[in-house]
Amino acid sequence: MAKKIVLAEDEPQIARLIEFKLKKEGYEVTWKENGEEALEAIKADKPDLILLDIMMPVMGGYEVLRRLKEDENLKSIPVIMLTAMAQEKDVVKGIDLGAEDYISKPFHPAELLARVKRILGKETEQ
Amino acid sequence: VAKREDGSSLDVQLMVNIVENTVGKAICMVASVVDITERKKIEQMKDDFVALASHELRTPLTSIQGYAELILDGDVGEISREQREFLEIISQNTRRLEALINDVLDVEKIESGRMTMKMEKTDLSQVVDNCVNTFKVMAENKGLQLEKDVKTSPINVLGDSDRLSQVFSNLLSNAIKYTKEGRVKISARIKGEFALVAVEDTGLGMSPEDMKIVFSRFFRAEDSYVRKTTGSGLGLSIAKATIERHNGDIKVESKLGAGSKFEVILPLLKEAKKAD
Repeated sequence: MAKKIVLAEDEPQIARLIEFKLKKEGYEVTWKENGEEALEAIKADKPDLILLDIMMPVMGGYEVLRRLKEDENLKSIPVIMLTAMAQEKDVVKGIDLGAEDYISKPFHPAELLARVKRILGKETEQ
Repeated sequence: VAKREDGSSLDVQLMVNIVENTVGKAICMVASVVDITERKKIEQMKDDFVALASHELRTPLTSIQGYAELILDGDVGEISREQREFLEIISQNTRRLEALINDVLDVEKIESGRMTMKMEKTDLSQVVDNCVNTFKVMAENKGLQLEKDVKTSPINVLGDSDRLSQVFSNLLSNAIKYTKEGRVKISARIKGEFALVAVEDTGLGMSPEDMKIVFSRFFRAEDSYVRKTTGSGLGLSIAKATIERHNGDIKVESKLGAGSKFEVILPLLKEAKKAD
């Protein structure tokens, strides 16, 4: 069965780029434009991986991450943060909150795919 | 922090100056307390602006680079040789723009004193080793010899190893970039209470006029060879500011057509004696 990924990203063009690359590899991608909708989708879908942008309207990425890690049912889902700020303190904050990995924008689509594969590949081995 | 009459607190700066008479004898002391609430507010606004500018610049860049690479990776079908060549030009230039954005932000942060440095015991011989390994390929590709001369180890200083590595990488990358043939040499040694790291090349060299302004922002030499290479002209100003934050100094010796030598001087770490 195809692995499920929830993508939270407020920029439609960047979301389409990521969605395209991942779908081509056979992943099932659900795209949400803000943190709140993403959280709903995560609760409903129980995805295998979450790609989470930091700066988003309604609810930002850090808040989503905080809520995920407080939820017993959701806290084991790996999260990759997407950041356009690329400052060390932001990365540290994300990792401290329990994110598995981070990707700073601009990124190489092939690199993003490789990081997704690394995490999801690891999951299947377990 | 001071308190107002009503008990609320405000941020203040305390300054004490000694007033001297004409023969240099201290006659009195002047202490002044300045309300810096407004200044703090402006600093916060500047921080927010930099974060926002960074975000707004990176977002369109992500789309340009991402879609160009998607096509380059063959994700939307075969492309011709020329299509590949032109897309690679787009891709290269987005990377250049990304480096420029990073450099501008670094300069802003470092000059405003907001660059956080993780000051810890750092072995410069190790840092130099890592840099040499990173640049070996770049030098080989250009047919240059990259020599390393480090006879002492460790060379411990108090510093941020990532930032110092950025400085040496910058010097090495410049040296390789602006040398057509010959060699690039990096050396590290101890002299008295200081650590010296030098990067020498057999490259283009600089005129005395250029040497005076080589560390200024956006400096790029008026040379046709230099103009053909890409660079923001910010690397050396970041390097200088970084070294100054480490209480060190960076100097240049050069002659037009006869290579350049950049030397970084940093105070050695004084090992605290163990208390018995």
